[in-house]
Amino acid sequence: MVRLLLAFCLPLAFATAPALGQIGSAYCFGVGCPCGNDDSSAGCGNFGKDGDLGTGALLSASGSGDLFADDLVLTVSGVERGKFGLLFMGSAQVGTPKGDGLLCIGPGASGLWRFPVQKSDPAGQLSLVKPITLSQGFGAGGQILAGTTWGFQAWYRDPLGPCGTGANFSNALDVSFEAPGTSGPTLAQLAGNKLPTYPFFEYITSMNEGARVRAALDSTRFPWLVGLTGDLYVVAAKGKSRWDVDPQLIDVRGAPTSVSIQPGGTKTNTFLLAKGTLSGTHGLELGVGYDVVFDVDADGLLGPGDVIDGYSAEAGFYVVRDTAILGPEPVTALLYNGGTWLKQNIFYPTNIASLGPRPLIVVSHGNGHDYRWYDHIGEHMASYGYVVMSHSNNTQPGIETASLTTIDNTNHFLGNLGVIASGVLNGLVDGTQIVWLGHSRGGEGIVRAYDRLIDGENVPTNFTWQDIRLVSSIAPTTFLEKNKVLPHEVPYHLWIGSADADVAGAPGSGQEPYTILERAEGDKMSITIQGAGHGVFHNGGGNWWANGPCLNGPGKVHPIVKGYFLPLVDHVVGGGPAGRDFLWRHYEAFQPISAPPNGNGCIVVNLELHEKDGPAVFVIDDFQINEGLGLSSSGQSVTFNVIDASEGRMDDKDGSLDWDGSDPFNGMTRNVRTADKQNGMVFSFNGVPSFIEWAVDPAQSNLADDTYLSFRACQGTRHPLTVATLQDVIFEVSLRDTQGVTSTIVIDSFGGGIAEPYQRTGLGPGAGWGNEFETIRIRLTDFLADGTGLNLARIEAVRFDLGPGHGSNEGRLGLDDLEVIR
Amino acid sequence: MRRWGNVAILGTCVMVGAVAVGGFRGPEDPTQAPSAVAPGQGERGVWDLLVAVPFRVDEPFTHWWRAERPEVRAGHLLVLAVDPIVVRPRQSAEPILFVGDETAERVNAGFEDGALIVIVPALAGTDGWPMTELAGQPMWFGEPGLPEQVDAAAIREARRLVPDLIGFSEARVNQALTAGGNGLRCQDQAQLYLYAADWIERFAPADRHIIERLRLTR
Repeated sequence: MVRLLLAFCLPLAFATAPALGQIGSAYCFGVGCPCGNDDSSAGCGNFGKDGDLGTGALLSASGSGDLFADDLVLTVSGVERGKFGLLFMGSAQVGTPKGDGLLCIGPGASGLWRFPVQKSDPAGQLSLVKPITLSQGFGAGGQILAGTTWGFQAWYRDPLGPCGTGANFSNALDVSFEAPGTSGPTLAQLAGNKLPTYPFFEYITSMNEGARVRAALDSTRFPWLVGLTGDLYVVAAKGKSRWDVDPQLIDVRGAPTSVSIQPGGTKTNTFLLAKGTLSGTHGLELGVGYDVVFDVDADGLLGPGDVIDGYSAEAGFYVVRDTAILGPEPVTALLYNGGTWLKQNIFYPTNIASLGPRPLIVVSHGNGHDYRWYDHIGEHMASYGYVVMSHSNNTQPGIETASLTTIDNTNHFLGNLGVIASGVLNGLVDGTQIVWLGHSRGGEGIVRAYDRLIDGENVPTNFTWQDIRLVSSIAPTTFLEKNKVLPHEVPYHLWIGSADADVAGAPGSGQEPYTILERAEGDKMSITIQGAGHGVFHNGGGNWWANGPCLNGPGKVHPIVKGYFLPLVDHVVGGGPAGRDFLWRHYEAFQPISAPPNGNGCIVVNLELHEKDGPAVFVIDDFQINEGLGLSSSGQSVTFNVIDASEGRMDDKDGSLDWDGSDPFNGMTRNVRTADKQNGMVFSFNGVPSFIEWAVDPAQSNLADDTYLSFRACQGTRHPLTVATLQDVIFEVSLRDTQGVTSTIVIDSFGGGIAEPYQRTGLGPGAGWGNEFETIRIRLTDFLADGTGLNLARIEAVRFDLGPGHGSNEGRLGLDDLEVIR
Repeated sequence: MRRWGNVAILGTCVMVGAVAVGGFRGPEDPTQAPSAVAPGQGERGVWDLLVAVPFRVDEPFTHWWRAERPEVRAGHLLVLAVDPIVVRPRQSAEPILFVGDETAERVNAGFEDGALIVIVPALAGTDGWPMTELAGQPMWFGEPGLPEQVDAAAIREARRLVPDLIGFSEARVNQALTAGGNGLRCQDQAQLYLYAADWIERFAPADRHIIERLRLTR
């Protein structure tokens, strides 16, 4: 009877629960201000952002008071920009004049607690996020607990203020805090993979069809769930809006799993959801989305108190199909002749009329190649609904000519859809979603072509630079200067074969393709395939143009290329979340299903992902400014005892890969022209415990609302400490908070470490080709696993520990882009 | 085994003039430099001039193979026996082919058969046909580079570096012209390429994919 009643009431209650929006109760507005500077709609009048002494600073709040969600955001607007201020909390009291304003919050019974000092942004705003986590660092009585109400107010500097005291206050705001899940479900990451070592579980977005899916509820992070028994559901992903109107839980497996939450952290609370039985195949989709729900009250409905992974536009997790095999659509291929250099090999889904406008992928081949040698990509992508046009490319004269050919062919194709293939594509190609994929000279040519569009050198009639959504180069040449071959802010992707005997990437050769990646100013990604030669990326047969051991031919390389290109395009162009994991998770841990498996020593794939600099990235150290080992680019101290450390331009200076001690950046090929300036750090450790520690800017120490700690690293080729142990280098990464609490994760917990260089010979004695970076990402909440007590809102240092007791005994490493991803 | 015998081409261009189709035979093995090579010529990668055909086009086309990107109205289509190693396609800089004071457009790859079909622009006379005499024009592969970056000054400098080249003799050129048959009057570059495709098929059949590209007319 009770359950029936709940089933009736909860949907309504849940559907009408307040959305995340304005919350709190504002009071103590500017009435009775010290020098008549009243403003009844905010704090007392200030000079502020607008210079109007009659208007003050307004404190408002959004989010919720949910103790677990910790999504309350307090914002103060109307402050003069670049001025110091802070928020504080305590108990409400009658406003008493102080400075140019009114002090409205007092210590009361619980004390007065100050959040970190900050500087107002260019919009004249101060803001506070994760106040609950931050409060955990306060003394006794200062922690925000369920069932309590706190008053908040902001103090700020206002040197030109009306009363001449130089400081003022905002209005005040009361917020009530509640137990997790009181007014709605608790949002958390649940789905992922079990790990053999700490943090014992990785929460991930995508997993392969056929793989086991698990969920973990870390009892130290969900203490209120300990002792409870509920049902664990796997539900077809709904998205928040559908959940709000339809909270019914229908398990795709047929029935939920009953689980009890025990003390003991993650290890004792990891549950198998499916033994590879969840489908990842549906229509043209890259994967199938699922939400995971812990139905605490076992009422079969999502409601307050329950825990959900996926209550948003993004599903809790995605089961992805085999991205290396053909998709569901039959493909039509044809040759088209639009003129001398307008020969095109076109692929499209035969049933395109039923699919609607589809994105366009343009392929620009390399020198001596042919436009019909990319049928493997054309067939593959068209079978997933893309239109692919591979064109004859005038590469022999040079890159400028090739770039014009790419522009001409793209423009011609879009302008002649009424003629091509008897008009079957007319109106069915989305000319606002174009991908340019180029090989070798064509790979440089497409970047030059994009630069031409940006610079206005070419103004095609049928598309613009905004329509180019992704530029992807396979082993591009680097003939031209940076100002001509610059990806600007378009997402840029690079494919490299370490065995390439044509565009070999040899230092000093002038052909160093990683340089173009470094020039990119938007999101940038790379995939390096060891053992792959230049000629194995196309399908024209012939010489592999490969040099080195463990060579991989088209039979192995093509599944890798197809298996990654599909999720790359799906994610970057289509915005699909399922493809994102492919771009950074180690090949050892997650790879296209039918791509050759890692582990036989000859399949090594290294991935780099770097998001565009901006609000989404907090740079701790990218070595681009503040050159000098003791100071990070974020202006904080760096301490270390690693040896032979250098910071500078990542450029092998002598053209030899032999290590002779005179060239600290030996093997680095990230700068090819004088205008290129991509810096990094190199260092060694040798048989003794070693470390590097970066202090975190106190103004940026709140990492509680961020997602990943990210960096990229490589081994230094042919260095004696690399040669000493030719295998992945591993080490520990730690975060330390202001209370001295530390949490540590070994980098290979999620897959591999930093791979050794490809063992190719040449350019001096010994073996080992150029240095290959790969990205390491650690989810910040993983540092909280199993109750470390780390306060992510007050991180003061990031530390690498290397050497005995911490991972590999010795090594020579390059390092760059130590960042926090928002 | 090469099949370099008498040549009877049926291109789409109109064959003009009364040049006889002669009995030229090229070397059986193009990797062996023929004895007729001019002094120094062999060392510069161009081993022999096998065929030469003057052409003119009604619609000029762009010569992308030098920095000035001149419009081409007339020139010569040549078949050269070349060092296969020199013409092997690569992404890095390739040796640039010069003919006299011009850069030549390489229509095919040629590295498997050792034969290169090239288009050499020339000034057109009042009758529309090329004025340049091929005899005595040095033909050589210069330093690696991108042809689109080569201008007149660079060509002069390249020429200065090979003072020993004196080009092919008048007799050799005449043999080549005889082998080429009548001059070609073409509507446009596409027609010229069609004609070139026939020569590629004859002298460099391994470049099948290029022949097919040039012949794609749909």
